Order: sequence, then structure tokens, then C-alpha cells
Amino acid sequence: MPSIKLQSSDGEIIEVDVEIAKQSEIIKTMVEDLGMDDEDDDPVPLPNVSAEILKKVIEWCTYHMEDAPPPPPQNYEDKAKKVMDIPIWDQEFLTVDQETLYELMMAANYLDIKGLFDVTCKTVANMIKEKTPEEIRQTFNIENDFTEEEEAQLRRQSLWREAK
Amino acid sequence: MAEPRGHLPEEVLALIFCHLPLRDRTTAAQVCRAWAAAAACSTVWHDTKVSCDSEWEGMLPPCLSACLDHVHNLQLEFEPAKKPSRQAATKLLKELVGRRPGLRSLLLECSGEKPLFDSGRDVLGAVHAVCQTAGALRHLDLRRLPFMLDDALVLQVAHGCPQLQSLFLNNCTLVGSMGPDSVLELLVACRSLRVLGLHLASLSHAALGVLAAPDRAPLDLLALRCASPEDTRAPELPDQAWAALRCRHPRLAVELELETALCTHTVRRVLQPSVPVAALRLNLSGDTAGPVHFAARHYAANLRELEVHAAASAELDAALEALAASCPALREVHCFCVVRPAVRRAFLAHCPRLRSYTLKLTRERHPWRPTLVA
Repeated sequence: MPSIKLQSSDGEIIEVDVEIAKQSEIIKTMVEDLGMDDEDDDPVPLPNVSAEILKKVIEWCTYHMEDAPPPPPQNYEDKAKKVMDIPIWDQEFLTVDQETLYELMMAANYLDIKGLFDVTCKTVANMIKEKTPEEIRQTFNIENDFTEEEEAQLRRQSLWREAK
Repeated sequence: MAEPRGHLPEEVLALIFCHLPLRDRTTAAQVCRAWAAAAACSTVWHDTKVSCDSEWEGMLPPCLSACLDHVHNLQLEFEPAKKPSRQAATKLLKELVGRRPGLRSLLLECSGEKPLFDSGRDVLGAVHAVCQTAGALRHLDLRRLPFMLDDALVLQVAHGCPQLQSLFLNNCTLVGSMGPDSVLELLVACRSLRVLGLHLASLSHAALGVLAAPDRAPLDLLALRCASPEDTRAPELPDQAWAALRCRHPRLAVELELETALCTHTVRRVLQPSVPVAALRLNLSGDTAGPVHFAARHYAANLRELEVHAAASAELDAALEALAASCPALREVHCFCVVRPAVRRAFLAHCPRLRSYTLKLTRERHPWRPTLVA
């Protein structure tokens, strides 16, 4: 089975089945369009992805190898039915600390792995839903950098009734 | 390289916010400056879902009201029985009037109790106003709006939305008020229509002729709801007209919804052999076994979905077994009365494409959930 070598930002080289790696559009392009052959043993450098995250990405791609590509939306109804459900396996896979979740999302974005990027975005979106701004700040450890006046204005336009 | 948390690039934040309904987007915009900037990105707003429940006052902060310009596809849900919710929905719709490039698709959904003696003038007026300036509208779905839709609205859509590709006017109201003439005018004006949902009384013989005309987009779906007294009195659509339509649009699938108000005589007039019925929903107070037998005989090639609400009987069981044996394309069958075991066996044996069924052998507790075929 042909394999490809990937090098993480921290220098680790990981060998992975080409078909699994091709779930990344970036790697797929490299292999198909740029014609990397078997003799080409040079590892592909991925300076934006650490070894730990790369291994997790490969784990996701390995599990989803056999996934049939989703059928293109046939009609308007299909397009409107945006699936918010995250498959159970992915939910468990993404039960990680926030830092890891972010890094997985960024890695999926960088490597152009649509499925993984999609579920990580949905996971983060779920963490934002139905919270107040302050609750969101606490969840994500974000500093409120609005000025006093801006804050007052936002409070005046507040969409939330005080009694919740 | 460890970046401080929460500092995701703007384009990634925007893609996350795409998954949020409108209310959560406005909350996100109040978290910090970076998030406010991301929330205002146009990509966030192309597909927008809004739930006007009674907690939301329907106002967008000024920094985001410009974002309504970017909304292409809007799904708006509200509770017609609750005044604040309706007001919010009406207000939001009015905000969309006249925007450029304008809406491409609009879907309205109502939840909660259906208000009695309520014409929905406020909401319908706002929909009317939106259609007046929505020249780019391609999809309009009013199926889940419980208010009576009238000729004025149909004509407005005909004049204002020539690029329409899908239109659902087959909502659940007790009385119908869309006459065949206004619908005919709409069909003539909107030649790109591929998907159409109507009450039976709105569809005339002439309309079938217009739909079969050469210079229009291929028709993929025609959904007909037959439920009101007007539908009962609608003139018959001759079999030849259906045959001609089917000939012109070989991929046409028809969905028929037949409700309790229809007598057996009307049901027989609606069920013509040449109608390419792909989905049949029967909720009749009279004979159901007869229509099921008819479907087995004439709709076998195309039938994909069958839903039956009726009283349990041996005749119905026999009819269902006959249908199972002759409909290889069936994907879903849902029967909301108890059936005998032979019925379930028949469907499982004869329908290889079956993916979901509701065939209960005993009276289970409601709600009855379908069984998915592995």
C-alpha cells in the first residue's frame, strides 16, 4: 500500500497510507497534480501542525476513510436542510480540551479537510449557542476589549431581557 | 506556537458563526471586538436562520443591521399565537424589503398553537412587501404558514419574482382562496419553476397545459394538497392532460395529499391513472383500501412514499399487501393504524429499497416513531 511521509512542525516524521492522507485536499493536489511517486521519499513538511495534532488528524481521517462523499444536494429542500448533528464518533473524538479543539480546527483548515473542519466548527458553535456574552467570554477565556461607552451602547441595545 | 485563546483568524470565526442562528450571532458580536468584526462578515449571513420566540425583541444592533444585505437564504420561525413573536417576525421581514441584491430564498415556519380566527394580515402583508422587491427570489416556501394565502399574494409573486424556481403554496388551511386564474398567471410569468406546491383547487386544466408548454424549465415536482371544500368542488383534471404533462416532463414526480374533507367520489376524480405519483398521503374519513389498491395498480412504477391514516381493517391490510407486492421502488411506508404481521412481512420482502417504515402490530404509545431499515 503506497504511503506518504508527513513531517510535523516539531520535526516528527509520520508515515501514512496515501489514500488516507488524500482526504486533505492539499495533499491530494500534491500527490495527483504534482505527481509524487513512490520513489519520492522526502517527507512533506507541515510547519503549522504539531505531531500530537497531526496524529489526531490522521486518526480522524482513518476512521472516515470509507465515508461515501455526501450526495450533492438534489434540490432546494436538501440544501435547506443543514445538518447540525455531529456524528457520535466525532462528538467523542472532539471531547478534548479547548486548545486541542482549536488546533484541530486550524489544522483541518490548513490541510483543507472539509469534514473535519466542519465538525470542529459545529462543535465550537455549539459552545457559543444560548449563552450570554459574559458566559461566552468565560468559556473561551476572552477579554472584553470594548470601551465603556461601547459597552453602554451594547447594553442599551441588549436583546436579552434581564430576567432569564 | 501557543496563541492566546479566542484569537482565531476572522475568516475561521466567520465560518463558525455561519452555524449560529441569528440570535447567537448578535450575542457573539458583543463578546469582543474581534468577534464583532467577524460577525459582520458577509459570508456569515448568506444562510440565516431566525427563531422569533417571545424572548427576542426583533432588533438587530446597528452594526449588524447592514448584514441583512448579505442574507441570501432566510429561514424564519415564529409563533403566530404570541404577539411579540409575530411582531418580531413582521418587523424582520419588513427590514428585508428593498435590499440589494435581495433574498434568494425564503422559508417561513410557524410553531406553537394555531391562532383561531386570525388572518395573519400583518405577516402576510410583510411577505407581500418582500415579494414586491425580491426580483432575485428563487425559492419561496409558505407550506408551514397557517394563514389563508390569496390571489393578491399569488399575483404579487407572479409580477415580482420571475426567476422563481420553487414555490410552495400548499399550506394547511381549512379554506382555500387561491383561484386557478391567478395561479395560471403565475405559471405563465414564472417559466423557471421546477418545483411547485399547490392546493388542488388552484390547478386548472389550462394550468396543466401551460406547464406542458415547450419553452419552460423541466418540472421536477408537483405537490398537491386536497383538503378544503374548494378542493372538493374543483373540476376534474382529465387523464389525458396528465399524460401530456408526463410526456413533456418525464422526470416529474407528483405528491398527493388527500385529507378527510374529500368524499370517495372526489378521491376517484383526483386519482387518475396517468398521474406520476411518487408520494401519496391518505388521511380519508371514507374508504382507504380502494385508493391503496388503485395506487398498487397504477402508481407501482414511481411510488416512493406512502403514508396512511385510517382505521385498521382486514381490507386495508389486504390492500397494503397488494401494494407491497407491486411497488419495488418504495422507500418509505408509514401506516398509522395497527396492521397484521403479513403486511410488514410483505413490505420487507418485496421492497428492497425500503429505508424507513411505520408498521405497528400492536397499539403502541404515541408518538409512533418509524423504524429505520439497516
